[in-house]
Amino acid sequence: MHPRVTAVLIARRGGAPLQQTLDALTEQSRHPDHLVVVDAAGDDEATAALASIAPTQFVTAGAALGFGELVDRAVAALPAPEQTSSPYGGVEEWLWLLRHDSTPDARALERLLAAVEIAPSVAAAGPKQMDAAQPTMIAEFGETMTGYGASIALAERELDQAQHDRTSDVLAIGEAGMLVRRSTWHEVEGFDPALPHVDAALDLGVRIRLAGHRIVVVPHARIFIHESTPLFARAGTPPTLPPRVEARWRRRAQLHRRLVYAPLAAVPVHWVSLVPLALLRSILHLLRKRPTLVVGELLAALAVAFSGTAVSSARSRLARGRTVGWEAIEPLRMPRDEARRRRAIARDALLSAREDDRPPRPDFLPGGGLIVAVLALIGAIAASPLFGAPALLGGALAPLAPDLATLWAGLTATEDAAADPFAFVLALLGTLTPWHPSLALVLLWIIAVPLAGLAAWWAAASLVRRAGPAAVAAWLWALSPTLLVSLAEGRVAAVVAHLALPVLVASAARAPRSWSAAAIAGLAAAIVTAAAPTLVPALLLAWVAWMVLHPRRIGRLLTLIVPTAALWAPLVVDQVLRGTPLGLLADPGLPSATGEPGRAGLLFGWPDTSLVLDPLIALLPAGTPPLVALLVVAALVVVLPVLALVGLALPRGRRGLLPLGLAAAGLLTALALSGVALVTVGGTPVGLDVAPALGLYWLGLVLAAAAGLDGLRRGAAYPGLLAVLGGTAVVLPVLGALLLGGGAVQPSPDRTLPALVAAEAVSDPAQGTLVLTPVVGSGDPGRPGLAARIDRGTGVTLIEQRTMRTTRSLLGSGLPGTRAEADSAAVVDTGGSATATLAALAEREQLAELVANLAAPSGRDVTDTLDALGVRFVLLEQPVAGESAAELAASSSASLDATALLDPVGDTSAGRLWRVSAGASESAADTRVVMAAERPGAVVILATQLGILALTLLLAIPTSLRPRRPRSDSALDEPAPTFEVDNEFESEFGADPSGAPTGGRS
Amino acid sequence: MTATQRILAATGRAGLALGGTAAAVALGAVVLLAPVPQLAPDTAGIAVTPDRSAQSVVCTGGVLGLTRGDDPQLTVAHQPQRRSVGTGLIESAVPASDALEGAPVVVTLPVDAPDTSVAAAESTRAETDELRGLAAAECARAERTAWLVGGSTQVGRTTWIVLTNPGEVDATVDLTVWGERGLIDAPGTSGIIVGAGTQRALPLAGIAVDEASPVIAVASSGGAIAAHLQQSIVRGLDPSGVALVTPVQRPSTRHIIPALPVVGSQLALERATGDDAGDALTTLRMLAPGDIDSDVTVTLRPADGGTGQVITTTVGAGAVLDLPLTDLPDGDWAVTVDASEPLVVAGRTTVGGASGLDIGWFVPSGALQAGQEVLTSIAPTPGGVSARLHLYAPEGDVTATVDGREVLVPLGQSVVLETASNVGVRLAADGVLHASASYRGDGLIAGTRILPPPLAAQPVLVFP
Repeated sequence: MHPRVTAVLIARRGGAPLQQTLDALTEQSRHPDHLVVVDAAGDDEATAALASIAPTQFVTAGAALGFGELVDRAVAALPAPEQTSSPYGGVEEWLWLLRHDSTPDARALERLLAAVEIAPSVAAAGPKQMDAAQPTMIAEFGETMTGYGASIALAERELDQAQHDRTSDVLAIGEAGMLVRRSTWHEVEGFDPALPHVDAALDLGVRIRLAGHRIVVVPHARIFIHESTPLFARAGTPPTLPPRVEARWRRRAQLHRRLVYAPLAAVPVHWVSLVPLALLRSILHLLRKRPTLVVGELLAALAVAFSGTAVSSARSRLARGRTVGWEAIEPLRMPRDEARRRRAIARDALLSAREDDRPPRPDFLPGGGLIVAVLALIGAIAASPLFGAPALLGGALAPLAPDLATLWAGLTATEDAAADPFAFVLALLGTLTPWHPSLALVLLWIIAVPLAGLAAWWAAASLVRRAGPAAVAAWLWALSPTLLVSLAEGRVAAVVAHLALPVLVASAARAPRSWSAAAIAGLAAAIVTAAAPTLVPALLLAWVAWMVLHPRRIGRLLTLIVPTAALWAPLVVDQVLRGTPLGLLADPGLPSATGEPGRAGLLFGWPDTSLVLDPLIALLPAGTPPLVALLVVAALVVVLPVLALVGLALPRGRRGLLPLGLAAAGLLTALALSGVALVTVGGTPVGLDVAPALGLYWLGLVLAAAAGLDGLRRGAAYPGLLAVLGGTAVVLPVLGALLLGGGAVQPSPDRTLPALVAAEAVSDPAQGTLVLTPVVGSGDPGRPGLAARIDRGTGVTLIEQRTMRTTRSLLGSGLPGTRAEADSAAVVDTGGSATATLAALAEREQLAELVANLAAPSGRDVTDTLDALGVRFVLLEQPVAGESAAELAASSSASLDATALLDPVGDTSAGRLWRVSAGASESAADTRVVMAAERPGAVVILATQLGILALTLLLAIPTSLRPRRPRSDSALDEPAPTFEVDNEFESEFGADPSGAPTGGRS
Repeated sequence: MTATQRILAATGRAGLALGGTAAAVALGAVVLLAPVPQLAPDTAGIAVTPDRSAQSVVCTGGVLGLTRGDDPQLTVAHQPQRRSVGTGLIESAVPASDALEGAPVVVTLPVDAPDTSVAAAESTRAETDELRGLAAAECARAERTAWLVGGSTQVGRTTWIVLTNPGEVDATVDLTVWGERGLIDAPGTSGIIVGAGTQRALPLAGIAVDEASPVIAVASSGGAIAAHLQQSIVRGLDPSGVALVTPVQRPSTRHIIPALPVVGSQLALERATGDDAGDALTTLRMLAPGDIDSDVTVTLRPADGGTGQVITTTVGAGAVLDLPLTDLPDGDWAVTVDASEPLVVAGRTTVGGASGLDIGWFVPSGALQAGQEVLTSIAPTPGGVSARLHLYAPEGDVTATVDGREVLVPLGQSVVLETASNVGVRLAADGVLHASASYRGDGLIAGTRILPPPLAAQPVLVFP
């Protein structure tokens, strides 16, 4: 019986592929009997081309329809199948499905028909799909499913060496070039309209098989594919398909099929598991550095979960056509071992591709390891006075928190203040020593120097090719003035920023190429900005510049800001609503006045020049002008900028430009900050810390100098040695000060208040201690005043510090962009933290009244005020300096002594202590409203912030195999992963455990 | 790459380096020279004036003596007469005392009282076998430091140190005693607890034995203390005088005693002969407690004009000097002591009369500032004793207003006004004025000071 073939050509767009397909149709050795053309292109040129072939039927359809629906339109346009009463059976009608991009070989139809004619049980046959661009490559040859129902091609992107030519029976075949018996087509009711993009042919194949028919591939019938199945489903000329969309389609199709194929009883279970599974898989995507797939994963799950009647109608369609059990297709699924083998091959291919992509970088071992070890020794010796201390005190340092719960509670926003981003860094630090959070700071102080060296090595290694310059950079950064001065003066935020800056630079440099690096850079940026808000403008500038330099990766680079934004958002909202946006720049941590850098100090990278100039002047002969000392410092460090600038003139000198730009941004930031103070302590303005900005300056210089050294090649030894010696000599005074305990940082017990107060605080952590410090303010020189604050529990902790509170005095200060206090009515209207701030200002007045009436003879009964503030102790600290302050201390002490309400406890190391007598404090126990209340919704905000950080962290964890070091003699091209010899190849070269290649000869 | 291309590339890099160097130099210049914005928030603290507290002054109580009998007890031999002035004042007694029947009075002006100041003065006429004379003292505020310049522990001289704590907080008192030969190191002088609402009386003889010229510094911590000395003299068998010594608050380079009355001094010297006549002389006792000798100029001005005397001397550091004023004729002398180093000073006079001898210690008075109105009390006096008000202006002519009556006080001249006793007097002046009162009868002398009003509460600067 002569079969009747109806070719169905679906055209989505015109162009060369369509023309080739049309030509190939006319050149077929066996012409189809009918030709139905479906014009979904909607463009005149394509319509004209289609019409020129004189089809039997011409159907016009909308571009939005899927392949299956377009085929349905074509089949509907056909005359009804001929009914015949011949005893030999009717005319066999076949449908040959073609797409505009599938150009059949001239004998394709003939060979397909030959295959189906000899086997009546075959209901569908598919040609070997070749890649039109590389006609010797198999694009796809047969489809099947894994045990879990994921679609997988039997052969895909392989060189055609006839290796599959013995294949015959398959589970399904690709839609392009498929020859399907028309009666069977009607029997199984065609393609599933719920699968418009991918897997439609697989689904059809499954249903044909379940209807009791066979499906074969015909190796000698070839068809050349210009696009791919998902690409064909896209509109546009030429179509584009981002990987994330394709992944979404595939996932959606798989989930749909899962619900359709599952036994009825299992459907609810599968339905319920859709979203949880999607969440789990999203995490997996993050771990595998494919964050772009996350949204598609969730969308696919939601689309399937709420697809209406699509699943039920597909299930009934399958049930109507099914005649055999599922076990019929079981042998046709891909075995588990085979699926695993394919995954391994794909992973190897990816890895080797990454190896080729990898720029050369110096080895960490042994040179870098040695440098870090020596730095660790130096750091440990310098920090030896701190060994065994439970906490540190001095400068901006204080105990971190009494316990872990308090530490984490410090992250929630209170009524008056959102948590500082730096609190997250502190919480992270403190969690490293959960049994004693404050200890983490001591450890940080001990290992800061080698950590800085390690980070700088990493940053320099991405810039230079040899180990020497990277070692110089590591050394100079670990012993840079900013780090050592910050360590000596207890600038904890600056130390953290100093450690995170090189990590940020190094990972940002790799961010355009790697999602993992982008996530690390995002986290590092969050840490740096949290510790050094003053660096935000410079970093924003660098971020924009980096995006301009990598316009193709702008999407990935845009995500760098996400963790930073998550940390900062609540504080930004609070400060802006309060009308003190300038307060965002305030340094986190305990406000403490530090030395002045001076203009020359800025230029030499010293946040406090007195630490180097004073010892130097003492060393020089008496009477030497201070300018000489400055010149000595300049001479010791001048080699760095010289190297950096010389490097520009050497080959590959341009790589020094970016570090130099960072250095300039850092220096200008430091200059701009040098005159700005946002916080006052005891009537003295505390200038913004320039150490982080100077750190950025120094990092840029060090990296540029390393690049210069790298460019000098063999000539680098002496300049490198000079830089190291000069950079080390200039910081010797600070190292000495650290070792001899001459800095501000001192070991301290885990409390700032006397032991007696701390002992009482065990039973009442909210108890207040009124701490008075006689000071001489800067406003009215010579006039002493009392700095007053109320410490809770065992004293000041770092975690409870909030810049919202320290910058309160900005309100009404008349600084630019700051709301005048007179506008307090407007502040009240904004509600939230602004109202709380006003309440705090009122409390400030109340505190001032209390202090004045305690520290001077007074007729006021302050019992109620003491109760309301929950004050149980009064501590009068020793004045730091000034005769008038000492007089005030004496008179205040006398007046406090004479207050019947206070029982003198005595002199302690912290100062003179009084206890509020029991009679007064008893009533206080009931009216304890002293701790700042948590803001409603704060926990939700905190959970969101932590969630964003956790997801970023998942993305940042390096999970992929580490690329092996490129070997100079390895000239292997990307191996074709499906060679039959694959196993032998692996056993011979790849799986040799002793031969882990380390390279080092590059 | 051809040679030309290589040269071009090298030239480009050199240009880049040169440009970079120029930019670096420009940046350096900017950093060194460019002005930068100076921003700082308001650093002013909050100045809070503490609430006015209740004012109280502590009176000395009566003249102390011992009970007769085998086991003599300290007792109040004569209860004082007191005049308290100030509308709305409240008198209360210190509940506990070392002396029997000793209940010194605290005069308190509550915060809500109509008046703004309070004053009180007491006088006691003693007439027993051991005590004779007139003693008077103003009631004074309790302080943390007091310098008691007076007393003697030689034979026949009895001196009590009396410490009164009127407050609600126990006070711990440290005494430092100097004598003619310097600091006297004695046990039991430190850590003396004076409980709240208690008066303690300590015999000076227990600390400084046979000391002719003691000076005692009192320092208290905790509560404040009102301290004074009581000295009595028995010459031979005759009780020859009793006096109360009120404290100088702190050493200073200038002290002014508005009136040192010299009355019947010749008679006194004559009657005192044979028994340590030394302490019958009119004397200035001085102590420079520091480490440096003090050059002292003593200027004596008689009342109502006339030339005075000027004496210069040196007070050795840490040793008490009794400077006898031998040739001083009778009269009311205003004494000005100018010193190169801070010192404390008091003057002693001995009067002789028909009925006997009496001594009086006269302590420097603080300065009343221009425009200040001070309320003072003239103590009640027994019969035959008259009261005088002494005004002295060391810096310029001053018009004083005494109870509404204007009195011109010329520069460097002591003005003496007769006044009724047992009255309150309101005193004001348009310049710096020192004032005191004296009480005298036949063989009787005593004095009270007119204290400047308490300093107005100063605002306290607080940085919360």
